[in-house]
Amino acid sequence: MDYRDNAEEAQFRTQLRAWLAHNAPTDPVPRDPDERMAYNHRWHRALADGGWLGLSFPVEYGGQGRSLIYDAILNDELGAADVPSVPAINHITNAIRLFGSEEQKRTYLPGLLSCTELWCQGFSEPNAGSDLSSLRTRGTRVVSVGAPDVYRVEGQKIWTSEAVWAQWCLLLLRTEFDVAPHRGLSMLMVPMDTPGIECRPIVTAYGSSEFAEVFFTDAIVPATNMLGAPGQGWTIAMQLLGFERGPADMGWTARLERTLTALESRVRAGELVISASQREALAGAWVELQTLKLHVQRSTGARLDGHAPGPEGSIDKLLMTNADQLLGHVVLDVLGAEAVLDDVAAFPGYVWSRAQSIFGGTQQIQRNIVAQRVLGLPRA
Amino acid sequence: MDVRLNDEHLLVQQTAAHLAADHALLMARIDAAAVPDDGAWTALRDTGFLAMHAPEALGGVGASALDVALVAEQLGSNLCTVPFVAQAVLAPELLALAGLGDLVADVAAGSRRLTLALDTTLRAIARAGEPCVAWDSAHATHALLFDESQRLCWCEVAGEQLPALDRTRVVRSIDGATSAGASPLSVVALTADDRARFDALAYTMIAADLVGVMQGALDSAVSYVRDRVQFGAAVGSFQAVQHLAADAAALVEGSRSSLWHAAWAVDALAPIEARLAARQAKAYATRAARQVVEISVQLHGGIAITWEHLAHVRVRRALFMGVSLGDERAQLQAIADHRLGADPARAAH
Repeated sequence: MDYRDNAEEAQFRTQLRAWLAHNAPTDPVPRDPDERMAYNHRWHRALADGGWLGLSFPVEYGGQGRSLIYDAILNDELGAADVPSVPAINHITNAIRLFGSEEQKRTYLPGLLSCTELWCQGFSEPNAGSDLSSLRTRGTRVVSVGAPDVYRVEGQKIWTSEAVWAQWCLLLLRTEFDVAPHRGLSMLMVPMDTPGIECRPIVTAYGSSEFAEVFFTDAIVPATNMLGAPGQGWTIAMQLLGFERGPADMGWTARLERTLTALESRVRAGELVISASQREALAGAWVELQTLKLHVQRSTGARLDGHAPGPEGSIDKLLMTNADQLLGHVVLDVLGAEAVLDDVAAFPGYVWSRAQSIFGGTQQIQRNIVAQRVLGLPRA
Repeated sequence: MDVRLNDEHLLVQQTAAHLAADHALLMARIDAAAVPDDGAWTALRDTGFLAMHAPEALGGVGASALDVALVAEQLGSNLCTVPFVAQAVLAPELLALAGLGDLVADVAAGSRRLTLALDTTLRAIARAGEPCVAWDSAHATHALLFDESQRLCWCEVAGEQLPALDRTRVVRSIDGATSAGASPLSVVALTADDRARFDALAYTMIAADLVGVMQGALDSAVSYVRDRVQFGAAVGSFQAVQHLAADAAALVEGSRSSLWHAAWAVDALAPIEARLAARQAKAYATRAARQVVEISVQLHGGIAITWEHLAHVRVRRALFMGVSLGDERAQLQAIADHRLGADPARAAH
């Protein structure tokens, strides 16, 4: 048991800090969504070129084969340096690694890991949110003599992050129709420039547009673009969702910590005058964030032996949501009038804290998972 | 970084689990005047769990604070009445910090029972001359406290037993005259670092006890709702019930994660940093424990508010330990002082 870096980790951290000192963007994050996307993308390319991505990914597929701790250190340091976090590709790279053919791995992983190709994830639909297995986007296999099989895709996705900018979509859709709902799902890797795909950005409550609706109208996708076998989509999706949690959460934790420390330094400087109960509230937020960080470190430790993330990850998500939403309230409370006189002082962070209990599986779905799959309570 | 229990930790945990199960409180029928000592102290001695954290050179076992926390957790989850935290860990720690190896060796040998005297707010070790309480004092002959110049003293534990909330502990009053007559054990005062180191261990051990109590409360609730049938189904299959249990599980695991870090910090970090880590763990565990025992009461339904059921024993222990050595607010205030600087409003008074 040791919460400190070992010698190699410390050396890695030192090198990373030195690299960040020279390479981190110094210009402010643009407010315009397109410009911000381009800004993040340039940063992700820089991280990839600097050799900081795919740290824990197997060497044979273009990664560095290090332990998960290195991902955690990277996330930690990016948060501390106040730069955008790593690209959210971990779940997609692992899905391709675990379920793709050798050819698919060779085809798709290099572009993902080098951030030269941007992927989005087409799961949720207007009528399939928490009840994902009821999704209706369908792919009909078209067999014609003398030509390779294709799927004709019809349907609509929603909340698709970065769809407007992506070159590829990992699409969960229904291809089998005479089986139980979740057994009829498959996973297709779809080029976003396929004719018949249309994106419509969704503007969030604080004015950004990282999400989009994606419409598929007779979009033709080669059958060889299927990840895994027909009907294996649900299994792949469940594995992949596990990889969305874990050490990557540390990047989130570091961002929350930065929000808190920025507030604390204004208090220390006498710039914000707060009451005794607000002091306790700030301390309470720190306690909650520390708990989150320490728990994610423990979860990372539990995965060092190599086993895939399991339902316990939902406990991390519950703790993250609690911490994020508590901090959101403390920020509003401590800033008082400032938070309501300036649209960007606290509101974006606050809105994200509310989104935290909705995306990636709602708070209620996470509780179901913990109750049924961690505590072993019976399903209704 | 490697946040995992190693094989030795797991062995200690398993040994403690067996010992605690052998001495588990199984029924809520406790006579407050006679908290049972059913041989658990002897069992602790035979297992090498007395004076566990005190250094070997000073007559202790020299175990890591994490090992000790794992034992405290098991004893907490089984509601053991043996005064492990006060008498087997914290009293010998003070003796060791004061360099009193002979007394530590006596504790380790099971031949001497000492506890802590806390001030009447339960926030800190008492000062000689003030009325105070002998905390967790079953079978203790003396309680440890400080004199004006921070030298370790002891006084007799002979006052009347207080009707304290925690039915698994004996708390006695110590009047001002008795505490004023405390005799110094050492000519050397404890340094500020010593005190911080002690606080770190003390807050951590209370957090460990609380994690145990929480785990016991959650386990009991989960097993109850699995069996209890209403509307023709196990109530544990209803989402309203499941969500309470899931929230409790998150609180228990969050508390445990903080506890491991605090316990590691006791032995690894500088005293001030270790104390901050311990305050964090205790503040979180104090609130979490109350929430978890309350959820456990809710999930058990009416039976949980009866005298016969262990639920109230858990509630009592959680509340009592939460207040002991500084409640959540006291810890948060200290954390705020550390992170924000002293409160200008309070300083002006």
